[in-house]
Amino acid sequence: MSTAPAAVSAGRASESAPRPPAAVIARRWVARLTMPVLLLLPAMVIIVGLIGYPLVRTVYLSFTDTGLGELIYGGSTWVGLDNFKEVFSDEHLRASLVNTVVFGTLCVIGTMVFGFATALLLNQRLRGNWFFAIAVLLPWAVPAIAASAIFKWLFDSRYGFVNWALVELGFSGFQDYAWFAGRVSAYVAIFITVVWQSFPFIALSLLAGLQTIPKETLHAAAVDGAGPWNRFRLVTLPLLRPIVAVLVVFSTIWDFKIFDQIYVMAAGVPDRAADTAAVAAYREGFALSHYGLGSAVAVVLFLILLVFSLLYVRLIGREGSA
Amino acid sequence: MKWLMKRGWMYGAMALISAFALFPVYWVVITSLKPRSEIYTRTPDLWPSDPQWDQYPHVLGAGHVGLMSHQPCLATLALDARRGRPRRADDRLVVRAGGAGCIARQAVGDEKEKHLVLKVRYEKNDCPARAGAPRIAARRPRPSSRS
Repeated sequence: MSTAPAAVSAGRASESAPRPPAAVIARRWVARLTMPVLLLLPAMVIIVGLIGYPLVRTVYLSFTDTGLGELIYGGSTWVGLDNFKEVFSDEHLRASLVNTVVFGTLCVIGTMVFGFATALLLNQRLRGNWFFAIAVLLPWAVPAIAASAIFKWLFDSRYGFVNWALVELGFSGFQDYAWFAGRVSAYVAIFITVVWQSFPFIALSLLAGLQTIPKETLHAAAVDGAGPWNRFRLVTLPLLRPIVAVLVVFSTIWDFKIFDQIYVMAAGVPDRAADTAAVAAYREGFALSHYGLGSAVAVVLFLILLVFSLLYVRLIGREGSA
Repeated sequence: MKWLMKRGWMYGAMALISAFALFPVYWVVITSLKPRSEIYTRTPDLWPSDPQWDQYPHVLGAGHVGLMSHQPCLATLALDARRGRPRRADDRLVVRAGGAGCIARQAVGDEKEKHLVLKVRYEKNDCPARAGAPRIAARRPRPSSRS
């Protein structure tokens, strides 16, 4: 090895010092990398253990026919894409995927619009703003299961507050109206629950963004004759685009894998018509012990989320740079 | 008047959003104070006429909710301590009280025991001790509710 530099140095006459032997270079690299790798190791171990292993295991399970017996005695067989074929051919599972995409998208839109309106209002610094801020923050502190139970009680057909209030307001058709007897009405109730729970985070994040916008820019736009709507559309929105992008991706992920609210509130919807993919994966995997099929549903949900997130990031990122 | 046009609606919107955010929490708080007869009524009140404060000490101390977090662990520990010992009459009692996994332990021999315990565990998706009543039904194959 140590004789190699003679031949090499002929080619690289410009180098003043002769190239050190490979062993020395390797040792130097090891010395340089030891500390960073050691420092990163604990985090890497945790990430691989808590995220990597379950992910790989789920993907593996989705290609097998693992049920309860196979889980206990071992010996599950590789079935290729059969589970995925069933996910798309089974009526219930296919419906759950459609539910996820449609309902999730509506939830994202509702949360973003309502959150944005709240943030703009908070940014006006009205009197009593502190109370408003606390009131808005409160739903964020309520656990998802508790919130679902609260709203289930509010939307109760017989003793619920919502039906009583609607009847008092003159909509007598809501007397004993069963919100969770049909898919659409159940989704209306769950939509309100989801928006109630997630708009505080959106509102406060956007408020933080709004406060970074320099007042001078808005004043300059006003001097140039821009009305409130144009100021919002042409100044505020473009400046907030990075935050909006991140928040949309976040709430897409949250709202597409929504589980608690559906499981608590819509478990009784006939024919399981209101199941989203996360609930369907749970039912298939844990209630019916079809681990392979359940994993396949989870993997499909994961891919849907991946596609939507990438789409948003590309879409919003490109508009921002143009 | 001009102020009202310019700022008034903002205060209105602020009040509306605050009400939307706070009302469910408020509703739960007053429901926690209402007596049963006021909870199950077709004409709910926005204010409890006769606040019942005694639910709170019950929940925080004496009742089962405060203990709930410890109970499964204790029962599981008891179960594990008993496992592997020679079977005695009081053993069976404790184990039966423990829950579903133990029914399997009693019902079948050692070879199948593991399978059934696991089965019960997985169908409950929980530690066996938390399943309150003995569930012999778990041994029967469950009909698929899908399709």
